[in-house]
Amino acid sequence: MIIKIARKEMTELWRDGRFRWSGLIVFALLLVALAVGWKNYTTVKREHDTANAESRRTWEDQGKRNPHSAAHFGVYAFKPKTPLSLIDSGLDNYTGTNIWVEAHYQNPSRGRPVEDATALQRFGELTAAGVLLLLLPLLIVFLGFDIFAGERERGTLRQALSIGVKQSDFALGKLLGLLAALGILLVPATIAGVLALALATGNDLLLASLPRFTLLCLSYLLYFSAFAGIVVAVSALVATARLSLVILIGFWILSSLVVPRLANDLAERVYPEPSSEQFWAAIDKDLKEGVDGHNPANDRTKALEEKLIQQYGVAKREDLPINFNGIALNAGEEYASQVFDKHWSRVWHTYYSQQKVHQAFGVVAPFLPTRSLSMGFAGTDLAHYEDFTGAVEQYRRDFNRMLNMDFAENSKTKDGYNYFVDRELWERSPDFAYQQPNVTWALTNQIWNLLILAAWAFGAIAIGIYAAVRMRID
Amino acid sequence: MLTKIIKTEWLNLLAEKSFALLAFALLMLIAYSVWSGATWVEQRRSQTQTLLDKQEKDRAEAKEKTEQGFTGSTTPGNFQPDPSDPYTMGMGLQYASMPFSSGAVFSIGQADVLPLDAGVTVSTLQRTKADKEGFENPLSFLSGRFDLSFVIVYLFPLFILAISFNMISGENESGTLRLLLSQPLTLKVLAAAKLVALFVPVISIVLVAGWVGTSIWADSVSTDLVIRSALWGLLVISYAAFWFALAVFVNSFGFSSATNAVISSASWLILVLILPSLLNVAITAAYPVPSRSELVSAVRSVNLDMRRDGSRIIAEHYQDHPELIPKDGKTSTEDFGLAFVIVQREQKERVDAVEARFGEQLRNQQSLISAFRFLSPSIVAQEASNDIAGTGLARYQHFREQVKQFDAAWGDYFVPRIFRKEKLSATDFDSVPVFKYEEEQLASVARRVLTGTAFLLAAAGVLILLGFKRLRHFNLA
Repeated sequence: MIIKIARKEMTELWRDGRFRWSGLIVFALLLVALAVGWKNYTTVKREHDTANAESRRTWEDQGKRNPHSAAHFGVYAFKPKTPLSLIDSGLDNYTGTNIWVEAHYQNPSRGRPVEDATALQRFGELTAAGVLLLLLPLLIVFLGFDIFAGERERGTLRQALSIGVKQSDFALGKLLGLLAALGILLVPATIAGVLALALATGNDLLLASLPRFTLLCLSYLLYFSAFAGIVVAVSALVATARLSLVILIGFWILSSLVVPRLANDLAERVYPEPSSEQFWAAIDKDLKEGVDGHNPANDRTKALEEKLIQQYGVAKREDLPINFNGIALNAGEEYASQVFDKHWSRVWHTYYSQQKVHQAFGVVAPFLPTRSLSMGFAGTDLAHYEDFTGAVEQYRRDFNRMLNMDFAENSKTKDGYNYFVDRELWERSPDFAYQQPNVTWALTNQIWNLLILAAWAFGAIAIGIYAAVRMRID
Repeated sequence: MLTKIIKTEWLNLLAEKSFALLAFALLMLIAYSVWSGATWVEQRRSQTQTLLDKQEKDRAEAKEKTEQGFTGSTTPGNFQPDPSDPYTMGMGLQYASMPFSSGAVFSIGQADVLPLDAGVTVSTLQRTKADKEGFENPLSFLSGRFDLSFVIVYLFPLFILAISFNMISGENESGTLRLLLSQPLTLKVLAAAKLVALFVPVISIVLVAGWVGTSIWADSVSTDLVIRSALWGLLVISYAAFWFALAVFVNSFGFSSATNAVISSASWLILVLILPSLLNVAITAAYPVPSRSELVSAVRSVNLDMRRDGSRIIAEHYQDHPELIPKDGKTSTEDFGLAFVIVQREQKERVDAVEARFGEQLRNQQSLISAFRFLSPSIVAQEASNDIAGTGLARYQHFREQVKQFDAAWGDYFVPRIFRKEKLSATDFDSVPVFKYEEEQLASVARRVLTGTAFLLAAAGVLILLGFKRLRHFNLA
């Protein structure tokens, strides 16, 4: 019986011009968004592959040079585009695309695409995720707001229930019908998504992306179920179709427009980021005076000198078998690492605290956990960005250590700065290669959002069915 | 007759709880967004002020030290540059800042993503703090700001549609329309009266809230602010007119209230969310910006040339620029600092060439937007809000032009002095170029805004005319 009702509901929706037209528009937008995402992905990937190769080539071709002056020249690390970013570009437009790896400084990433865009982009980029996050729930609202309210107004509700259908079967059947009608739209869309992914990536990458893609689909499925449940509940509880529609659209506005911005606004007020001026002033101060103001740079150098003199059993700095400047540079990097860790971790802590505010607001707006999950599985969220910058920083430290130690061990002259090395060392120095974290890691980061969204989905469906079972018939 | 119906409508509105509730919500949203925008601008302004104050203090200190004859210290552990050496200040970082306009609270616009404090130096920015910026959470850019223009561009139309989607269909469904029309009254007059009755209080709420809010946060009520506020008022009126006209047009078809609600919200969706993002796809495809990695290559290639033959570069430079030979005729081809300056200048030229292409593509995109903004009233409203607030691309590029000139003046002042190895005297510090932002002509702002509002009003007029024409054949329930 449930199946029969579901099939009837679906056929009716499908015959309804309203569904066919809006469904077609949404589907077309999804396809355009996927095409745009695919083009964007391939372009940026090509640019970054070229840039990475170019940066390495420049590094290896730099000719004879002192290792430390080479460290000042440095290399550039470019943020790779993840395959699933073609579905959800997430924060990609707002995070820098390259980081300068140099001596002494842990640099922020630069080259945010949003700085090279017009204000039009602030309306939101056309991505598949955008269509799924914003438009599909509204489509569900348009389809289902009068699912009961409409029948009640027309008086067909009493008629349908008078033939002995259990009210719970009736409700479940209607809900399934609504979801099945959506399925007609979503199944081909998913296939189009896999095709775009396959076109953009090779076989290996496609296979590797599938678990993330599956979780992405699952998240959206939960999101749509939540909306379907809410739509059914409101339609069952409210007297007229008109009122049902107004309430549902109101909820959609709050969930996807008002609450996200409000959450963001409050998050920034409670956990403000430092300005660049403050950030660098604090770092310069710590580097000069020591992390806690107790160990100034001069004292550190003196202590290092004494330690080495003792260690090698020589009388003065000039007699050391290694170059003191190289060792001092390396010690300087190691000390600076502590300072950078302290200040950068504060910045990240601020970001994550802000993110927690967004997460908390997910309890009133299902849009928020879904957006997070979508970015999280696409590899374009805050955590993935931090992972990339962390990998670059680890690389920078290895890179500098190697250059400084070569300087310390192989330069025999007094200050060492007329010691030059060539290609052999440049080629031997590590190359930056970044591996995106695996899906389990992504899932662990998102566990709260997943729970919140699942609660929305199951809670909404339960309430929807309960409301439909208990609803007034006329 | 008209005034009588308007009065009745007002009494109805007053009695209706949902209208009062919605109006209160709108008022709260405007108040919050003005507060949010104003405090953001204030915070941003004070950050810039700290930067500029420090800059001024540093310069005063350098001047004082020069007066005292201090020429720097090379004692290990206490390195201090020579303040009178033109290299020190010229190669150092200067900030040129774009101040907020008096109307900034109307829209944060692009002010959160575009760097308002531009770094200027003889060298490239690569090794300066100006290239180590950007600590804002990317998540907050994605979410967008809760500023006044968000409330006006996105939420205000929804509010208008919510109170007007059933202005005629509602009466028709409850049967009161038939009753009303049995009076000596046509449907057109009734619709016009309802329109006026809704339009006037709604507009009053928004204008008063917006104006009071922004003037509370303004330092002083200047002519500039008055003009910008007037333009904003005009924008709000014409934007509201468009959405009210749309409601009349939708109502004129005689569908049920529920259908009207679906059509109205779908129109909002298409005009406010879908068309802008489609247009964005089109304009970025038409004029793609170059890749940022090209900029990276530009700052790196010359560096190699320098390292390979620094002394040759210096010798050639003096040959090409005999006017830069120091007065005592002593040129040093082993001077690492000079070779660095020459290479940095060349890199700077290459970077500027790439940057110019970015700027040009953005200008091209912007002119496409100006032409096609009429696809959607929201694009018109967003562009106009940013123009009024001075937080759009036009004013920013106006600022960048001035930064470019200032950067050139900075170079012209310091580069010859560096090569001629002339020291700065204490009085020279007073003649060092200082950046002063020249405000964009308010007339050109007004022209852009007025074109937009004229379009909105025209579109509203067309919709109302079409709607009224249809009302003649309205089917009564």
